[in-house]
Order: sequence, then C-alpha cells, then structure tokens
Amino acid sequence: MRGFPFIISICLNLTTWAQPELSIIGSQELLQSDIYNPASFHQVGWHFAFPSLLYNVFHTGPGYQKLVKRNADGSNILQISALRPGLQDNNYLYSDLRLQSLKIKFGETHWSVGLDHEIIFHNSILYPRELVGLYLDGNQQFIGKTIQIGPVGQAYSLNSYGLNLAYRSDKITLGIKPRFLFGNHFANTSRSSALLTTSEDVYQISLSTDLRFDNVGLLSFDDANFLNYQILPLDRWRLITKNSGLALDFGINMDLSKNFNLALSVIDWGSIHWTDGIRSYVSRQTIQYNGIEVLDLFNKDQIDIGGALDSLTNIFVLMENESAIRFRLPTKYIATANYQLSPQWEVRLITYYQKDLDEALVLALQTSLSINQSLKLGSMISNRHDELNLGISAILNKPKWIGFFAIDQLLFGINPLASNHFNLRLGLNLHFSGTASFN
Amino acid sequence: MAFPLANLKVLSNDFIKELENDADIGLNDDGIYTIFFTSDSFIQSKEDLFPRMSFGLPVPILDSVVALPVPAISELNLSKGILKGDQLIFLFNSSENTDVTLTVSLPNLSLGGEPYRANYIIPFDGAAPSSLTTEPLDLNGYEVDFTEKVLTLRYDARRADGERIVLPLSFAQISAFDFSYLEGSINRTSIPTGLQRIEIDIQDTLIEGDYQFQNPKIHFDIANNFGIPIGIKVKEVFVVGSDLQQHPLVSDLFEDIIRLDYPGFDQKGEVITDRFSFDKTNSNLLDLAQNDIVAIDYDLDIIINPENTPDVQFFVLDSSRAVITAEVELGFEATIEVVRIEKTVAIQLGDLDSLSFLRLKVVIENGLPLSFDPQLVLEDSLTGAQLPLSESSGQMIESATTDDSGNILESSQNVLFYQISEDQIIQAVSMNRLKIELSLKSPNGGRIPAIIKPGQMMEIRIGAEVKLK
Repeated sequence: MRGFPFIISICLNLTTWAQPELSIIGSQELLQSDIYNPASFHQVGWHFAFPSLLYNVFHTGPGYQKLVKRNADGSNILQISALRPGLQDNNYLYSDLRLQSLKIKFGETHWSVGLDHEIIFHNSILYPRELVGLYLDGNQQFIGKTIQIGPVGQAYSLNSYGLNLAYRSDKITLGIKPRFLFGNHFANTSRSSALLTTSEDVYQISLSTDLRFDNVGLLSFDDANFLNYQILPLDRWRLITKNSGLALDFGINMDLSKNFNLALSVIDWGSIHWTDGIRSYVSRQTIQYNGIEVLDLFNKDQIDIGGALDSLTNIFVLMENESAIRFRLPTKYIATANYQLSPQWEVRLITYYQKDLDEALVLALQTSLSINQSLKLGSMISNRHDELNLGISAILNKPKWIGFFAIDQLLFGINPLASNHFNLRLGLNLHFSGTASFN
Repeated sequence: MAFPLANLKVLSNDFIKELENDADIGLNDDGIYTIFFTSDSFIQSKEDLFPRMSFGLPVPILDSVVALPVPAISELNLSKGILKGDQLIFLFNSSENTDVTLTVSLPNLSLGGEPYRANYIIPFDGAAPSSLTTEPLDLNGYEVDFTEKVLTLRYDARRADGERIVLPLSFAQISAFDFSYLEGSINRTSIPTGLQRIEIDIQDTLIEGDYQFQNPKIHFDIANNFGIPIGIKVKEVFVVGSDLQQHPLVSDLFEDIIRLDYPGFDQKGEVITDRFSFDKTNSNLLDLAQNDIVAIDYDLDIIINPENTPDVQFFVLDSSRAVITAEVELGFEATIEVVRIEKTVAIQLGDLDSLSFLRLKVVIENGLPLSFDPQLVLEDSLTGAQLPLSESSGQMIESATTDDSGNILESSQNVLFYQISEDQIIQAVSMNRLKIELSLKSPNGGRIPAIIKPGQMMEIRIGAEVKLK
C-alpha cells in the first residue's frame, strides 16, 4: 500500500503538463530549488553546490540524433527531412541548458544570504507545419493557398550573477534575489508574420511580412537576404559583456498548517539591454512577384531564366539596422502546494506559467517517498503539448552532502541524444550543519 | 517549387511592327492596321503646262510703233500674266549729228498699275551714227496685258532742235517670257499619264501563308493648286496576280470623267486634295484579289477644263502643281487559313541541371483575333540537335471571340502545359536557342476575318513547377 499514492499519481492525470525542473521546484530540501523561489531552501549553516547541470529539451519533432547528421568531413548538418514525420500544425522546440557554476548560501534561523553564478542557454521556437513543408517540398503543395511561414523564436545565452536574500519568520519565508545579467547571444522575433501566397494562375508569389528579427552573434544574412543566412560560430563567450541587464526573483513560502505548505514565486522579472553586436532585420511590406516583365517580345534576342530566379529571391530582402534594444525576460509565475500525507509521503501540485509562451501553463502532480533517512524517491506526472510525461527523481541525503538527479520525462527515453522530450538535472551539494534528514 | 517565370505582353502594335520590315503599315480610315503600297507620284507643274519661252534673237524696231510678239499656247486664251526675272534691253541707233532724246513706252506692260515708260538719250560722240544700249530692265513683277495679243512698243525720238525723227533700225531684246502668274481661259485639254505600276510585294515583305484581304482598296489621290477645273479619266486598271497576268478591273468609275475640286480665285496658293477609290463596293476588286496580288497597273488622263466651258477663267501660280498618287490599301481585315511566324532567341538553360522535373504552365489571355498554334523547339546551334517541346494535351491558343464580321467581343482564356522530363532536361541543358514557330489563323478556323487594330493585346503568363535533384 505504500506505493499506492505513487501509482495513483501516475495514473491519475493524463492531461497535466510538464516543464523544466518540476522535480526541482518541488524539492525544497535541495539548494537548487531557490532558483525557482528565493524563499526556498532556508537552512541554517553553510551550503555549497558543486557545478550543477540542467539539460532540458522539448521538441514536438525528433530528437537530436535524428535531427543532426554528421557529414563525412565531420561537420554536422541539420536534417530538416527528419521533421516530416509527426509534423503538427504548430511545432515547438524548447531547450534549456543551465550550468550553475558556483553557489554558496549561508543561513541563520531567520535569514539567509547566498551567491550564485549561472550560465543560461535558452531557446524556444515555434515553427508552423507549412514552413517545414515549404522547405522540404516547395510551394507546389500550397498553390492557391496562403500560408504562414514566420517562425516565432527566442534564444539567448547569458551569465547570471545572483544575490539571494531571505527572511524567515515563524511560518513564512520571504525571499528576493536580484540578478545581474550579462548577455552573449540573442535572437528574438518580436514580430513574426510572414504570409506566403502562391497563386493558382501561374504561381505568382506574394509575401506579406510583418517581421522583426533581433540578433546578437547567432545568425547573419548576406545581402540582408533572409534566404542567405549563416549560423555564426558560438565562440563569443565572456563573463562580463556590454549587454547588461537586471532581473529580480522573489517568492514567499508559507506553512499554512503542520502538513500543508504553499510557495509562490515570480522569477525573471527584468530585462537585458542588448547594445553590443545587435543587428535587427525588419520587413514590413507586401511584395508580389509576377516573374520578369517582357514587353517587347519580338525584340527579345535572349531569355535569361537565371535572372528570373534571382529576381524571385529578392523578395526576401530585409531592412537591416543596429539600434540597441531592451529585451524583457520571459517572466515565470510558479505556485507549489505541498501536502505531507504521512512522515514518508508527500504529494504536491505544481503550476508553472511562463508569460508570452504559446503553451504558457504547465501543471504537474508530484509525489515523493522517503525510503529511509538517506534516500528519497519522487515521481511526477505532467503533460505539455497534450503529451503525457512521467518523471522520477532521487535524492541521496548524507550528513554533509546531498546528491540528486531528476528526470522529468521518462516516456520518451532517457538517452539525451535520442529523446525529443528530455529533462535532466544532476547535482551535488555540500552542507555544513543544519541540513534536515527526510524523517 | 512553383514560381512565376515571366509575364509577357504582345500588343498588336508590336505584332505589326514585327511584320512591318520594309512595308509601310499604318492605320486606315477605320482605324485598322493596313499595309499601304504607294506609286511614284505623277506631277504636272506650271512649267509643264506653261514652259518658259526664250527668245534667241532680238526683235527689230522698225518704226516708232512696233508690235512685239507675246507667247501663245494653243488651247489657251491668256488675259493677264506677271513676269518674273527676265530682262528687256533696247539697242537704239541714231544717224543724227546731235544727241537724240528718246521716250519709250510699253502700254501693255505695267508695274504697279503704271505702264512702262522710260526716257533715254542717244549721245552724239562727234561722228554719226551713234547708238545706245540701255541698261537691262528687270521685268520681275511686270504685268502683261494679253488683251491685244501683242506688246505695243512706242517711242518718241527728237533731235536736239526738237524735231521728231524715226530712228534707224533698232532692236528690243527680251531674254524670255517666264510668268509667275497667269490668268485666262483654256479649252478642254487632256494630259496622259501613261501606264503606271504599283508593285505589291506582300509575299516577300510580310509573311508566308494563305490569307485573303477582305477589303482591298485602290486610291487615287490628287493634290492640286492650279486654279483650273480638272478631272480624271481612268482609262484602265489591271490587277496583276501571281500568274503575272493582267486582270482588268471593272467599275462604273471608268465610264465618266471624275471631276475634282480646284481652288478658286479666293483660294490662291491653297492645295485642294481629292481622292477617288476602287473597292469592293464599286468594282470587282475583291474578286480579283482572291489570288495573290503582285502589282496594280493603271492608266489615266488628267483632263483640264473637262466641261470645256470657254468662259471659265483660270489662274496659274508659279508654284502650281498637280500631283497624282495611286495607293493600294490592304487592311488587316483578312481571313487567314494559316500563316506562320518563326522566331529564334538565344536561351541559357545551364541553371536547369539541378532539376529533375520541370513543368511550365502558360496562361494566355488572347485579345488578338488570331489563334496561335505554338511549336517550341530547343536547339543546339553547334551540333544541330533539337528537342521539341510539346503541349501536354495538344492545346492551342484560341483567338479572341468575335462576331461574324470579325469585331472582337472578348479575350479568350487559354491554359497550356509543357512538361519536361528529367531526360529531356539533361538534353535541354546544352541547348542554346529556342525556336518559336507560330501558326496563325483568323477566328472560326480562318472563316471569320481578323481585324487588327492598335491596342489589341495578348498577355502571356508563364509559371514553372520544378523539382530539384
């Protein structure tokens, strides 16, 4: 019977949603949980975290192994054709790579202070089915139709330097973490409408755009033409850059009863001012391409088909500028309700809402079981994009250290290269006095 | 991929321009494109009717009153003339031993209304006889009164003591009688033009094929500023066919003199133009034009004063001319059973080597009253290899819809497909020329005439579907 809630939690909810680090959000005994709520992990003593890695990928299409092929010369190429099976009307690719390099926290009975540094890579891309179809099979399939081909995307990499401050009263803990941000790479489509119409007549092409693509160090476009893109080498990485910003995380943790705990937090409330290396590509126009005009047919001595194709590519020309922009981080709102069923069992409901995201709300139901004083196992069921996910976690709690791992998405395999829904957090923390055991 | 390749507009203007080459193509009175073939002009000027008359010898002055001759032309009854540029010189002789005073007058010759009158002195130089050669008198502008049919010369010669004398033989020298203006009356006069020919070189100039002009016309244009009643007598007109035989034109216009307008005395200097024509309404020209026309032969006379009314006064200016021009008008209102046009253009298809499939969609909105059956052939100019491109279902371009008279009602819509397989693409890559052969017909299979007017347009839009290898 001890396993009953665990099984129930798996079977109960086939429509809840999953999102990065849900397991960590719910594990307040982990030092890393204050990433998602500065009021979390309030323990007396010194606490150090060894570098901790989060790798999260969610793709409605295939995983890395199918998507990227290695050429004979050792270079990697993107296999767009691998996207064809399972294409949906809208397709998502989210990925996060967060490397926490340094984390120190010192806590007293009522207050705590901590420092951390984190390297964050994030991208979220929404691409329509038609864009992939257009790339793979051309626009014949869309003759007589208008299709939206503008991808919505956001990608950035930055260094985050955080100062975590928390105060704890009898039942309530308040936490705030100002974070100083220094951006390295950036891409954002603040406007992303590109309507492509292929006429039934002789396939006249109309492109109606309302696009803005801001970019630092990720892509370049020769001749400002959208088709002539190049992926820039990601060798531009500095700890401090001119692209600076500030973000605030704040949270509250309330023990509402002996067994019931409620935690609320807002994170990534802030912005980065991108000034160094910023290039913006803008297109806001409707261009009709009807082929080359020949008005004096009888005087034509030569027909240049290549010229006609060159003219066609010109409709994808963008306006380019280098004005600095301020990018607001996608703010997240997190709520966790935790209920202690028994000394061994806990169950919690996690909601995660990310502003401006297409699938903004995530729900998860997590249970955890303390096997003994050292080992705690967790399971989680969640859903995102109408797909079921199961997660597990394990925390090994020793007197001076805690080791843990969490995988939020088991159903799609645990090979990070093969899986298209993968989430893993590994870590090892050192604790000097104050770390509570599970029982 | 599917994308538009080209958007071509073929205007009737361009089409005509392509046909034009050496032919003279313009618009006729109905606004229809028309080929004009024009004869050399037959010109009659004042000099032809009233030539300058020179006098080789001086006129003797035998007495104090002498009648000098004036020009006379048969059928003419001149009443007035104005001279231009000629000279009058007198040579007076005297046998007196004194100076002789001389007054000379020509009452029929006046300038500004004043009859000619001049005084001279024959100087005595110490030994008789004496003589005087007068300075040349510029006769330009002098008016001659022809009512007495002669020029009367009178002189009054007196010695120094006042005694009137008759001079010994003297002379008047007039270089010529040349008039810038003449008035008078004229009897009916006929001026033959002789047999003239207009070459009709449609076969060489234009296009090959079977076609029939539906409204051929032969015009005769007369531009006249003689102030003389004038008419044209058409003696004969022949249509010369491709058999080189003369086929006589039959028309009521042959029966009478065609009377033309002419400028009146209040229209001096104005050119009066007139035209008479042979067409399908007044002759058998359409029947004769069933076969190809290679030439038109014609013979006509210009008839002056065709009514032969002696009282009618005429005038002739120095600039007077009568110009007769014949013109054959073949309007593009033709039934066309088949006519072929061919054009070859250079083309670069090297870019096609990355394709495994190519299909061209050609949408034609044809506002021309002609159907087209296009044949496309890719050629390699070096090896002579050819690759015909066939329309997938054998479609052709229909003509614009017309009424039975050939007037356009609306454009036709046509969709043609040319599919090129991968094998053909491989061949096509080395081709460097595209030969376009167009077989044309007028509407309803060539039974309804095609009327070609400016502004008629055929719009051709070409799209391509390709698959990359």
